[in-house]
Amino acid sequence: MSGGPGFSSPLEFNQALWTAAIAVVVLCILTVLLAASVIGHHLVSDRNRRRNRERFEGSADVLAPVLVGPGADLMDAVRESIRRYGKRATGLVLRRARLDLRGGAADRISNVLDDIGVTAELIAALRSRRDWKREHAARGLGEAGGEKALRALIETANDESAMVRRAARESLLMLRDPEGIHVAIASFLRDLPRRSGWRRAFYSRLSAVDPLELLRLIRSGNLETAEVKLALEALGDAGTQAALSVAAEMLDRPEPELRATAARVIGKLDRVEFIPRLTEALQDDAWFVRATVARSFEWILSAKETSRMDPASRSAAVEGLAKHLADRNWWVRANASRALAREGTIGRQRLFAAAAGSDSYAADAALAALAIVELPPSENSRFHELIEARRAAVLPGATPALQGGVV
Amino acid sequence: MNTTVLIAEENFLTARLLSATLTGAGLRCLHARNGEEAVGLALEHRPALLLLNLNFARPNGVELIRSLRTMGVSTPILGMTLSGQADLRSAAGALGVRSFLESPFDPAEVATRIDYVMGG
Repeated sequence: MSGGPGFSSPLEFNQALWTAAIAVVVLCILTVLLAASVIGHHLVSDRNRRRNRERFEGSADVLAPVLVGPGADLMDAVRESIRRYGKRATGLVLRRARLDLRGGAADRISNVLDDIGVTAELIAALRSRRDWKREHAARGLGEAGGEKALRALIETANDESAMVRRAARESLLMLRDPEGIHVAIASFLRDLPRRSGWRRAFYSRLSAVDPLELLRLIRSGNLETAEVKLALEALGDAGTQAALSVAAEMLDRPEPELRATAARVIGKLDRVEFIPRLTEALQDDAWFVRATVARSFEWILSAKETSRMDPASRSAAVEGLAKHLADRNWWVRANASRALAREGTIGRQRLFAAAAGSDSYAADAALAALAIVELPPSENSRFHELIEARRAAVLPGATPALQGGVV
Repeated sequence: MNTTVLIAEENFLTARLLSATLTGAGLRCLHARNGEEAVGLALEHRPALLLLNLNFARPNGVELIRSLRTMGVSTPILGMTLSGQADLRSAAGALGVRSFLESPFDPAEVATRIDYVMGG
């Protein structure tokens, strides 16, 4: 007799059934316990987060008025904040406030952080065996500032972990101390990060903190071409006018990437006196240099400074750009067209001539550029005629695309 | 005389520091933590000055200025940027922002800038 499929007796079948039932019950209990622990963890974390935020905001309310004042009552306010909200919240408020403030207010905060032992705790954490703790401490010291933090960070720039060294470098830049900046640069050059984003971030921070130091680094010859390019871009993005001289020199470099970057920086810095130099650069052999130069013209010609332009160099620039409406590269044509559209009446005349001409590539680029600027009524009707003529030439038999003069 | 300054700043501590600085200079401060609050408070209170962090996340500072101008809020603006944000300054400058405050800031300088923008 069999107790079921695969069972030799009903007893064996019943035993299997009980075992399965017990397993299901145990599984259910475990699931409930797991869910309860997850919910509990979530509730506790949420409560801690809320409590920490309340402590931080409470401490900020106590400290903010004295942090921006002459500072006579600062230590009393710090003691009061520690008593009410704890040392952790108070230290965090002080460190973050130091990032927001400069001058005497920032120095006073560094001194207080030293006095209440926060700086010493962070320095002690730099001896931890865990990389993440040392990294956290290095970042904290960058926020805390002061001489002790500076010395500790200079040492940490040689840490065995690349992550910690990077944190130390960034903190040294935040402190804006000349010695610290030199150490950060030396450390950066010793272990140039593999990721270009990290390298770009370093140049960007350095250009914000000390652009002249970054200029010196570019001129030092210690950087490869790719690095000079990133560093020069950072200076241009920061609007550092001192970068103009080095950018003008780079226009003569044999590497086309550097020439293109230099043209972009000059365009970004928006200086009309460089128009003759850029007009020469429009003849570059590399298409992407010509395209970047044309783009720079667009930036410069869009600016209000064009009235200060020397008429001869302005005319030469317009001629140069108009010539490149027939460039063999589409990007050069497009950028040259947009620059001409921004130039004003003369530039637009050149675009209308190209749009009516027989070179269809130049006509398309010119029409696309005229479409993005506001045209006076007389030019607007001419523009629509040209668009319709071009459409009829390209798509004979199609219905007019533009109705009512709206582009 | 209207002495209300609207501080549009997402960071709580930065806003508290700015507010403490301005209150110390005898001004009344309002704080907007996001773009929506900034628009609401600007329309409701018509402040004498908007101290705006141009690094606002959503909408960004430049978009916020554009929205305010579209809604007819012509309040002078003191734009706050990090050092080296030339593009951001240039975009805000094109919308009529004439004065900027760089972060980190010196509390003494804030009062001077505010006086300048408010025409004091």
